[in-house]
Order: sequence, then C-alpha cells, then structure tokens
Amino acid sequence: MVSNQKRAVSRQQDFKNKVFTALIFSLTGLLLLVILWIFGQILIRGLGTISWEFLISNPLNSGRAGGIASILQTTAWVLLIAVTVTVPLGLATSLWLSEFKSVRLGAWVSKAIYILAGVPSIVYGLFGNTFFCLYLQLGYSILAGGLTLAAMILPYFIHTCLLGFNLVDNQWRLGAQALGLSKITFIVQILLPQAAPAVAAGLILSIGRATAETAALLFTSGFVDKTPESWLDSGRTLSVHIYDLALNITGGESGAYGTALVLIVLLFMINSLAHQLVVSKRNNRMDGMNG
Amino acid sequence: MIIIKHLNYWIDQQKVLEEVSLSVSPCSVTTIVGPSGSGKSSFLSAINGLYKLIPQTRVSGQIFLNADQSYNLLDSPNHTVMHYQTIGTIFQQANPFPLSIYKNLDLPLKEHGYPKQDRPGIIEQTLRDVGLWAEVAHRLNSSALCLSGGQQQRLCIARALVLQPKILLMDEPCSALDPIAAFGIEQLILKLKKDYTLVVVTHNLAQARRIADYVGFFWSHQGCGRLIEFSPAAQLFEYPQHELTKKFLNY
Repeated sequence: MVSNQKRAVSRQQDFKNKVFTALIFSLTGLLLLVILWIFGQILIRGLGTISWEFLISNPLNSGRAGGIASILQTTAWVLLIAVTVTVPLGLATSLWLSEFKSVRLGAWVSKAIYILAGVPSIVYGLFGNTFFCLYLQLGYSILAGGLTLAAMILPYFIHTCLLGFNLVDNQWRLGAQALGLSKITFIVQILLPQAAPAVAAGLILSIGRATAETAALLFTSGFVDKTPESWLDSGRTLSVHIYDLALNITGGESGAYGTALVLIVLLFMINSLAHQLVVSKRNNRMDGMNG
Repeated sequence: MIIIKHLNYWIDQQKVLEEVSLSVSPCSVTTIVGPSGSGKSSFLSAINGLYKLIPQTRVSGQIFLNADQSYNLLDSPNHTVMHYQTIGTIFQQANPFPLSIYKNLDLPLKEHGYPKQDRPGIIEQTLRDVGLWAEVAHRLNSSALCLSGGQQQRLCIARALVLQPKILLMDEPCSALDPIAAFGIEQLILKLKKDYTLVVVTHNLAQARRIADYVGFFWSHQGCGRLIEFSPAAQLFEYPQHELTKKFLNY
C-alpha cells in the first residue's frame, strides 16, 4: 500500500521535473533565438559595409558614405577621459568603504552608490549638460562627455571593486592587524593584489557600458563627426553615430549597421577579456586551496 | 606576564564577558577551556586589541603586561599597533598571507623597520624554531598557500615569532588540523613555553591536559561568559572546586 503511494508520488515528481526542465529549456532557447536574430541581422547587414577603408576614413555626407575613423578616435578619447577619472576616484572610494569607513557615513555612501547605479543614463546626460557643459563652461566637448560617462560608470565600478574586496579573506585582515601592519601595507601588499582581477574585470565591464552609451553623450559631447583636435572639441562616439544614422539620416542605414557591427565586436572583446580575468582568478583561488 | 582585572566585554548591548580577573605567569602555558560561546575568543581579543575591528564592541577593566602595573593596555588608543612586539596572535584558521613563504615572514619585519641585512637570519632562525626549516628551506619563494594545514599553522606561529613578542595568544590553534598536525603544534607549544608566555584557548580537554600549566574555565550564563575557576592544571583537573567545573570535566 505504502510503496504504491510512494511510487505514485515519485511519478508525480518525475512529471513535474520534466515539465519544468522543458519549460526552462524552451525559454532559454527562445532568448537565445532572439539574441541570435539580432546578431544575425547586424552581421548580415553590417558585414557588407565593413572594410579596412571603412575603419580608416572619416565619414562623408553625414555618414552616408565614408568610414568611421573620426568616430573611433572620439570614442577612444571619451573612454580615456572616463577611465582616467574613474579609476583613481573609484578605487579610493571603494577602499574607503571597505577599509576605513565609519559605520554610519559608510551606510549613507553605499546607499547613494546603489541608487546612482540605478539612475537612467539620460539623467546623467542632463546632469552632465547642466554641470559640465553649462556650469563649468566646457560646452559640448569630449571632456564634458568623458566626465559625464565617468560619473555614470563610477557607482558601477565602485560596486564591483567592493565585491572584489569583500571576497578577500577577512582572516588576512585580522592577521595583518595582529602583526601591527599598517592599513596601507595591508592594502598594497595583500588586498589589491588579491582583488586585482576583480577590479580589472569591473573596470573593463564599466568601459563596456561606457562604450555602449548614447543617452548620456547626446547632450554632452554632441554630434560633430569630424576628427577632434582637442578635448574641448565636440565629437561623436560610435553609439551616438549609430543613433544619428538610424534616426536622422535617410540612407544612413548601411553605415549604421557597419558601425553597430564594429561596436558589437568591440564589446564582445571587452567582455571576454573581463570574463577571462574572472575565470583565471577563480582558478588561482582553487589552486591555493588544493595545494 | 599578563595581569587582568575586572575585564568586561560588550558586543552591542549584550555583555559577553563579566568581571574576569586573572594573572598569567610568565613562561608557562595557560589554557582557557569552556563551551562555545563562553567568551574565550572575546577574552583573547581584549588582550590583543583585535576587538577594535569588531563594530559595536566595548571593553572595560585593566590589562597590564608588567608586574608594576603602570600601564593599562585598555587605555592605549592604539592598542594593537603599539603592542605588536609584545603580543603575537595565532588564529584558529591558519591565515598565511597569499605571498611566498619568505615574504610572509619578511613583511612584518620590513614593516617594523628591521634592517634588510638582518632579516634573512631572523627568518631562518625562526623557521628552525618552529621546525619548518627543513621542510621549506628549498622552496622559500613558493606560495605559502601551497603548504599543508599544519605547516601553514606553524608558518603563522613563525610569523608571530619573528617580531620577538613575549606573549603568544592562540585561539584554538589545532581545531582545524588533523591529529598528527595537531600533535606537532602541541609539541611546539611545549617547546615555546621556555621562552614565551602562552595563552591557548581550546575546547579540547584532552589537549588542555597535555599542554596546560594553568587552566581557566569559562562558563556562559545567559549569554555572558564568566571565569568560573582558575588554578594550576593538576589541581583543576584532579580537584575541581566548582560544581560547574566538575560537571564540564565529566562530559
């Protein structure tokens, strides 16, 4: 009797398991299909446009012809500024939060960072326009765009750094303290080397976000598609270029798809680099444990 | 020596140690035994100052390291950093830094200004003292994390010893080790007591019997730890005075 009941229950569980597995597989498959379709579209439509010429010549006729050399240059400039500002500020803030903070102030700062990480990028764009372009009188410029992007990726970068620091064994902190090592020694000799892959991965992912950003740059670095001569010139990044070609320029479609393909390849490279760093870190950790 | 008077310890509003007073004799092993949560580890962290790393923690009372009782450790604003050279701490989980074996010992020496030419000698001598030299001499530059658990713990003891402290505090130093490695650490403790004052927290009564000269027995009453009995080991184990001690020894 009992065993019959048990068998019925296990059959029921079996059925449930199968249904859920099928559901999960089909939903994942659907998602994969959508992604593949998007990539496929961009690849098919963009591949025809891409050539060495496309990468090294400037846009002509508002981007209907020519290439994206000046756009790539502007993108590199904007990213360089964003990274130069983000790394020291972000590292300092996350180190303070991880190692020095007073409890109450720390809680406020963490909360602020969480909220900032969730603010839509268009809001950063408005902030950048008001603060950098108008108030600091930088105008529509690469500098203003880079600084706005820095403001946008800072919370994200700080958050990933903190995750990395939290993974560092607290026993080392205690050990260092018991030996009378200064915080600086602990940070430089133990914390940063251990968290370096996480920090690097966080930075790379932040760069990825910044590279893909449009809204925050529309009102800060602007639309000018010429090669920038200084960081106070206006310039157009890859994603802004795509946005403009797709929406405002009739006949700009092939250029838009070509640029999109370049952008996606760039992002793919950036993300796999980050992934590599995280994986290599995980492996190192395991080695240490097994050894 | 360590003289502790009226030590109280709070975490948040909860008192976890109440009115602990005892004197630790120099060049001896004092073990602290008692059930989990009786405040044994808190007791050590009050002496070495690491309680300051735990938020919302407060201590009161007096801790002296000299017979003349002139300087209360708990009054020192920079408790841990100032007394690194007097007090070394060994943790339950061996925690060598993720650096080479050599650098683990070199880092504290460098930090505290030992001249560069002296450091290799100190490091070799200390590794010999903890019985690790023969095992690691040929691979001083490989990662300390590659050592076995027992070797890691001995390296941590060496790391505390390079700064030539007078007191070693050990918080269950063998509880994460296999019996053979634990035996090695116990032998080392017995050897070290010639030159150092050791306070060893353990919940292993058999171990306490093997290594202790003095035993302090802690018991928790409603979450608050108290020192129930403190006497020479032979006396406490053979003729426990307090009912709680008798009960605990019989478990």
